[in-house]
Amino acid sequence: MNKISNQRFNETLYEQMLSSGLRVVVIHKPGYIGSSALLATPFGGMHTKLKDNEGNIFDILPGSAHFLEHKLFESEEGDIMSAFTEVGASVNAFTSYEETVYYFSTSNDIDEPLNMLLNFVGDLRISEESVEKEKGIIIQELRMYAQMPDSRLVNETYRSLFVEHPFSNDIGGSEESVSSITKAHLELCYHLNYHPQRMLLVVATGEQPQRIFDLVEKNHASKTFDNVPLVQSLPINEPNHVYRKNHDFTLDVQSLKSTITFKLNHSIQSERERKKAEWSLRLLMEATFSPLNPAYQDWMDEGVISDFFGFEVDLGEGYGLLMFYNETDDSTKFEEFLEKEISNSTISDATLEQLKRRYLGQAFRSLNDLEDMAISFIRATFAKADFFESLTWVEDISLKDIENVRNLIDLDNKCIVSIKKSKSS
Amino acid sequence: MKRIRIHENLNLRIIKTGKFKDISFSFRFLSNTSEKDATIRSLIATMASDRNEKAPTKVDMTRLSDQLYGSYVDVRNTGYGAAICTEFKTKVLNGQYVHQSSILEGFFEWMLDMIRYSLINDETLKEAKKIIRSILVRSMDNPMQFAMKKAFETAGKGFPLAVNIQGSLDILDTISTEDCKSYLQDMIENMRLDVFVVGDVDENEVTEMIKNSFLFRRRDNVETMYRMDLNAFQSVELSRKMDQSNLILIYNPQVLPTDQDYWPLRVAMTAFGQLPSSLCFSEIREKRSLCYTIGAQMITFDGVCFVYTGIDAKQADNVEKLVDIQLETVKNGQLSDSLIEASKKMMINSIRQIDDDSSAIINYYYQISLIGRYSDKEEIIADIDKVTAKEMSEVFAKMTKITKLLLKGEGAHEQDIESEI
Repeated sequence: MNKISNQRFNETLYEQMLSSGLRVVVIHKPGYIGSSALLATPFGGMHTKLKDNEGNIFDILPGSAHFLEHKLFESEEGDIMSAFTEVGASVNAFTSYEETVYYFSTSNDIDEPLNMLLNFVGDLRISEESVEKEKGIIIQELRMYAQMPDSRLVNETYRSLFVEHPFSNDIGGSEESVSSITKAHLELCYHLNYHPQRMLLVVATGEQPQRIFDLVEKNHASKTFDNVPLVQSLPINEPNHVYRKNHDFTLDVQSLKSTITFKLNHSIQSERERKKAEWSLRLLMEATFSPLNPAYQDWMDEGVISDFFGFEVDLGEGYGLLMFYNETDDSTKFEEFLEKEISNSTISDATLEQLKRRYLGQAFRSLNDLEDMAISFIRATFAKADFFESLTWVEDISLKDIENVRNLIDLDNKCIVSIKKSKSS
Repeated sequence: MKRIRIHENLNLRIIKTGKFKDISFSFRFLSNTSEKDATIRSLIATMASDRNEKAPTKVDMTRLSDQLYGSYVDVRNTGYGAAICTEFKTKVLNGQYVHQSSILEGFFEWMLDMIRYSLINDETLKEAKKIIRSILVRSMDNPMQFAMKKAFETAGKGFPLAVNIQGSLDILDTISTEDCKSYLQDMIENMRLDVFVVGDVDENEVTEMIKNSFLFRRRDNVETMYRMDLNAFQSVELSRKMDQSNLILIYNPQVLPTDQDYWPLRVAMTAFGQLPSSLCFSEIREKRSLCYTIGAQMITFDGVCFVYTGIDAKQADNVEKLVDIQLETVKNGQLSDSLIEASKKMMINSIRQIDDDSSAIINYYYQISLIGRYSDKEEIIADIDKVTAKEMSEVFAKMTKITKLLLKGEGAHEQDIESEI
């Protein structure tokens, strides 16, 4: 058992690699009543092409990771969710673009639900019939998100921005891709991605860490795991240009919204450097497009931006984006405004220090919640970053770093996506 | 927890704990609700969190907030039956993490300024009205939110249930600067106030800070819980160009938290539609794949319950019948012992987990004080434990359906033309 203490954040973690290959991390939170356990695999909505170490390439249908998440809750012994509620534990799962995570929380004894989590995620048993039945539920889920203006706007933006990158697909896939997923395809996805060597278990608890390690080791000792060649996602060759420069879609709504998204082309390999660049750009945008800028009040008063206005920065492996969103019926005016203000954007030393102070406070606060902390840990680990270090990356940013990332923005390389009113609205 | 009644209807509760990295403060002002109250409070909340007389610009406010490591004040309104509460809530980092032991001193003053010196003038009111209008229009664009709002308006016509806590578009423009100023003054001087502090603080120091502030005075209390004395059924159908439909069913058992059958109703509702193993979820979603979202909720202080789901329009009648069947199952005492036990365990589990979240702690103690029935979590847990299947069946007999609202999806919108690549 390896102990990792961080004095500054007053947090202690324990980690151990089990004989099965599963990495287990216990975030020790003395004084907390509840426990949360999260079992994660780095298989999400963006993993549509995998390659094993023998060179075999596997094409994964969009929405497969999410479909598999639904089906793992099925068991021949009975309903898994009911089994958790019977021991007073609340179980759930989520699929993002990067990972799938199964988790429970309880204020009762952790032994039984932890064994149940390891057992149900460690055993896929599905029938053709149940796979067919699940399609109806997933299609209802896709339709629900498709008629929610904000989630639809983000999906249409990603579809417009990316040419090859799987971000152009919804995490849940499309009605067509979901309809064509089969039992055999789900079994293949499971086989490739759910081996303990590929997974990570994080338990945030006030319980003694050694007890958790012993329990998981004992559970895995009773199982056999096939030798599965480890897979990795194939690098994505995303072109520099956007898929479509303009896109409008109609919804039965009153409030019109647009996104203007700049595609950021970069070749930064290390996660640390990428996140440093991401923070640099975020700080510059924060100094320009937030109440820190005295002009922000004028923009609000003049109706150039609404209270809905905001932005997102994301720099990942092989992709990058800077997205602005606003409530507006004039995307051209919004575009002109953004181009002018991005060109004039600037940040002073005092503002940089002010923002660092804000985000340091945010980093401390993020450690209050068991599940949030465990999810952040999982994401840092899958991105091959050190969790505690990642909390303070913002502190290292200098004005020079910020000046360097400004070059990532090409004002001509963007897409504009707008919601238009349905004729019947 | 230290509970101090420091003046008439001015209560202070300090929950001393070192397990969070920050200290939470919550100031909650309570009064009767109405469309006008809700609208004025929404405007005040928007203005108070934006600027104040001591920090008259957004830039000033942001600077002050960042000096305190990003401690912004969140001002929001919540309905509690016939009453409405405006909460000024904030968190400050525990000074030990940033080697600044005096952080709380400046912070407390800043927090009180936010309440007392909210910047209310024609200019800030104009901006607040614009924001509230956007929020109200935006919320109607979310089909489920819109369906729920319409269902509550229908079911609760003439009662507080129909009041939208975010305010009313119809009267927004009639509110004046003077209305907001005098309302805030009344709130500060007269309305019931509950102050909560969660974190590693000196209890005596915090008590003295409150006692020496402008908030220290006698205040007026109001009633929160009420019963809607009506059983007539209404059905409303609306439509929208979209693929999915939303169905809302409202029931009026008229059971309040002070009633003996409140916990039997809570346990029965959990088994009926609040768990993944609940009747609605397992029979309608899992067995028949008729929906993705389905659930049942209680609106505690109004004595009302409702079911919500997103379905295919063609299945609306079928799903309604299936919900009725699940309701009959509970009424007829046919719930399995294992589901009853699981429901109790899950409720107890969530009550115990409250201690791990400062916002949940504050919400819990506030509700308890409004209900006035319990002093300790263990009393509630004991009451949940002793609920019987018979009591659940009896209380479900009171579940009179008063409203059905169907927001019907009339198929997809006009075909979008793929723009040029």
